Amino acid sequence: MQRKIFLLIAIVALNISNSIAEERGDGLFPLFSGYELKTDFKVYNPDNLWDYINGGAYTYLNFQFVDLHIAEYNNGKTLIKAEIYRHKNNIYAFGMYAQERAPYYNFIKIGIQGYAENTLVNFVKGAYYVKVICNDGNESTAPVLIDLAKKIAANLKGSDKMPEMFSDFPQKGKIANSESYIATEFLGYSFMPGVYVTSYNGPAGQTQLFIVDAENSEKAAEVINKLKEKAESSKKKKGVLTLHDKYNGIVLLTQKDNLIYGCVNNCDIKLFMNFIRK
Amino acid sequence: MGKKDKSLNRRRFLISSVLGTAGIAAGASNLRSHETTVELAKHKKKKVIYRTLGNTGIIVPVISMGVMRADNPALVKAALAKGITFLDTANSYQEGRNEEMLGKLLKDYPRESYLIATKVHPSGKDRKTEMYSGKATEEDFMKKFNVSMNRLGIKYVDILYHHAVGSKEAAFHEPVLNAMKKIKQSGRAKFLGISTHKNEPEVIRAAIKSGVYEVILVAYNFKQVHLDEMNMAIQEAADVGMGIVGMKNLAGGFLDKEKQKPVNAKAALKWALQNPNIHTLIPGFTNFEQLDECVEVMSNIKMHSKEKHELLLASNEQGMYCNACSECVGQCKKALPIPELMRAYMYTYGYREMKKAKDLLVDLELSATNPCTDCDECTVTCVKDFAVADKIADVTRLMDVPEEFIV
Repeated sequence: MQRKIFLLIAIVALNISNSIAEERGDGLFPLFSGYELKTDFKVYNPDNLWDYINGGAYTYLNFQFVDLHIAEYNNGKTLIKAEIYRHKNNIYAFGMYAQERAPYYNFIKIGIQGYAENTLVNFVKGAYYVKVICNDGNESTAPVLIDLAKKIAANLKGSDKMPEMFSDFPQKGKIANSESYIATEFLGYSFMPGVYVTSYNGPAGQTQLFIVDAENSEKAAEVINKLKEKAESSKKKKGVLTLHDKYNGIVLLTQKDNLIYGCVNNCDIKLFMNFIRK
Repeated sequence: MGKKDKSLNRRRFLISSVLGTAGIAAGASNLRSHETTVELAKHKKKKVIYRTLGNTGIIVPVISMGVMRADNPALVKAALAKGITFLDTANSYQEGRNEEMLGKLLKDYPRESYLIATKVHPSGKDRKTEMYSGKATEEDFMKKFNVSMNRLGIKYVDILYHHAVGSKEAAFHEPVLNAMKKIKQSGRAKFLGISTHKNEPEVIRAAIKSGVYEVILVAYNFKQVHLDEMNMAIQEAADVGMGIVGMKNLAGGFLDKEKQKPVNAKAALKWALQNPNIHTLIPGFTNFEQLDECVEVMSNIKMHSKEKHELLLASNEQGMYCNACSECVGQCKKALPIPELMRAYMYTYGYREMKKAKDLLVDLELSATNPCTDCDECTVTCVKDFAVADKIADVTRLMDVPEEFIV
């Protein structure tokens, strides 16, 4: 009986979501001068995102993907596709965006952050991760894509600011645009909750500072204990726990309430101490 | 374990890798010159099961790594250290970041110490028909491949796949085949392959017919509803010497929509490897616990009775799909075409192919929207214990859904 109800609801919900999507689609996608807007595309949700991006869907689902809206802008010569991925909140949207971005991309001022190439503009604003794509793009279409992306950004609700936790990271030595949010399995461990990460140029090479955002201080302590269990050795000095993790090498940690501050890869103790003092 | 299993020790495998395919075929006559590589591996105690990837002659561990979701280089390093030496990536994974991560990491490894495959997805695919438009040109494919090679920073890939092919027409698309052949001729891809997770049997048969593809990367798991047809197509491919790599072996990783019932990963991997025609699998592990499970399977693919039982339960858990046994034919007092109705149900809830389901229902020319409404009791007994009448009631509601709502 339960299954029957579920299936009935599923059919009805599918129909309703399609009709809502048609209304919402136009709301999400602004008109763009000289281009015809088409929004009658299927709206994807966590159950069927796989149909659209295959195995890539798993990563989106880790970042609490809600739905995907698609539109096409066509002026007869150039076809531009816009994809708006909505996530549970701005942190997850930023995290997903950062998964597909490198610090050396050509960044432009749009939303929280964005970058442009001849064939695409990707950006994040609020809970939305947006991709504006022109497969036939070239130098002449690049500014058009940026214009359209900015129009879409202006049309979307949500913050233009980086997730607040990133303000805890030191500026000195930071690699620009290297901030990311890892929703699951940071350091390769399934027990890790969401983690904010930023890269720095350290004396021994590139290093990462991170903040684990645990639910409460008990959960944070639990995470540290589990990391200790996994480590080959550990020692604590001046409030800093140094772990030798067999896979990730030296990891520095210190806990403050529900947050764990850490450093991994070519750890720089000076940088880390500045971090935790801040 | 199948006939083609080769429980080579790590020494022989690494020697083989160093020598390359030609070396293996020639019998690896001068082993001593590769002693360094062997030394590195001598502390490894566990034997790894290897299989030969069809006529390519490449010897691969039965577990390889689908790198797609791994954003932690330490995980890839750990996999390589544990003998998972075949890495699978693609031009499109993480918008290229996946190949970049691998390129950076692999600089520290001798090229001969690992195998790598990447995939290129031609532009202009129609998702409904699975066919290409004029945008899928030779130049387009070549350009994307060049981008991949720049990211990876290597001179050649071991396998270049035509990515995510869903129709025979796409498999035969000449501009793509031309580009792939040129890439192989240039030595930048040792072997050519095709990947598919839609209409797989059709694509596999097209790949065989093409004479171009040498390796097939195919979705293969215990929950597939068309397993018999899959096994037949895979057998045909194996018979002509194609290498076969399995993917999506965990069938999504969970048995339920709420993700409360995880698939027994080791059992699912072992299940796929019971087919000797599947030469290696590319599970997309993302943490060290999963890696350790994969490493266990790499040296022991024998299924325990508990694992078999769990997978059996898992298959039943799915419960929504008819396996077309036709035992129910003739049982309905209204002579309804039960297998066809169950197929429509599968299209709707399994494949989410609403249009296909509705077309099938229309073809069946049912007299009423729900043909079961005037029956007091259902006389059909399904071997899978399906509540047949309930499913018919559910799926036939599609007849009332206007065409414009069906995508």
